[in-house]
Amino acid sequence: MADTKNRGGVTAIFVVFAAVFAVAVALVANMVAAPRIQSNDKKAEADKIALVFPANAGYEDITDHCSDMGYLEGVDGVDRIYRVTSATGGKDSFCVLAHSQSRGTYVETAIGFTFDGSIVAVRTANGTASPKELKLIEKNGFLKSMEGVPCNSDELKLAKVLGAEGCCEAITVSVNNACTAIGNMLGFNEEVA
Amino acid sequence: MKKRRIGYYAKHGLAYSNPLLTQLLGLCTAVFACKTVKTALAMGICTTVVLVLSAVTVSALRRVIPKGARRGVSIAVICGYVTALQLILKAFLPWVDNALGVFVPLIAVSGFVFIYTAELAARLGLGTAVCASLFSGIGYTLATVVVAAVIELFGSGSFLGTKVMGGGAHMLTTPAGAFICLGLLAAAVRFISRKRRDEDDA
Repeated sequence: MADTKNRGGVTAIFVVFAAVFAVAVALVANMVAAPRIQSNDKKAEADKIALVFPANAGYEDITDHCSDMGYLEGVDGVDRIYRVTSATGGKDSFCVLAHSQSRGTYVETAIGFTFDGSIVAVRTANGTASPKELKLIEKNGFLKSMEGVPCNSDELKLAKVLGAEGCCEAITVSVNNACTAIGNMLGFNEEVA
Repeated sequence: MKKRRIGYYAKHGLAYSNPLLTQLLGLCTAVFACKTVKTALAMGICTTVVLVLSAVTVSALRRVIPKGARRGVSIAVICGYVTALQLILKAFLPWVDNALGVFVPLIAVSGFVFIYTAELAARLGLGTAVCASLFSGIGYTLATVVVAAVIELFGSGSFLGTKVMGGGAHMLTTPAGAFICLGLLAAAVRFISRKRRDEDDA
């Protein structure tokens, strides 16, 4: 009986040592990979903003600020909100990254707003697709119909998106959610403002 | 234990005891990875890397590890390498990480990797364990790549992302289609290798 207990103890010690070894291996990999992962994330973030604003525009993540101020209350699917500073010294714009899912398709959408809340561009990038597979809505005339429409306009409560490549319902939901968030921030929606 | 040559492990890993086609191990990840040749190749290489590293570690420590602790130690070692692999992929090959997604962590619970590490490598010498695991990994990779090539070609009419023929049987691109293709390939490999194996082993 005692012998059995001893063997069990030795087994447990070895498994614990193996677990420590596994953690050590993961930590070493993390040390090597972490800086690169951070820079990849930063680049991916910039790439998404570059979908709707010039690539050289500066940006600042204001998601936490918006959340603290209650602008995102009751708004689903808004992942990040950025304040985008113009390279030419113009007024700040906003970029909203939103996601939604429809019929099993996950769609990530970047929506660009001017300082006064007009939409400048909407583009989708499938979260799992490589950059080559980006689906640009502007190809289908959707961007043209949206450009310059203020986000507190009734027209923006889209019933459906015509001619958009990808998943129309998901894009509609994302655009509407982004509009609600920016509307809250700019004081268009009285209950939040 | 009987000393065997590299050729023995090569034949068994690639054909006679191919983990995917004859032992039906690692089916879950293989069926997912068989969507395209690229993902199949990436999954095969990832699995092989984890398998060889785990086998080397467990085999090198086989005299120290008590028999009762082999499985627990193997699981911990495999998990460590899979975590490391996932971080490395995320950092240096993000497209592979995006394409394989949740199936990279699933290598940690792959029956193929676990059995070869805990049951085979823990009993074999270092060189033998490396040979056995390497050839089994290559066999697994080749099987998934062949099935993926068939699926990509006849399912979506393309090869390596380039359209080569119009149309295609969409059913092949579903997991059920991949499963059927795997079954047919397994049957073919078994049929061809059965006679040869008997002759070689005799």
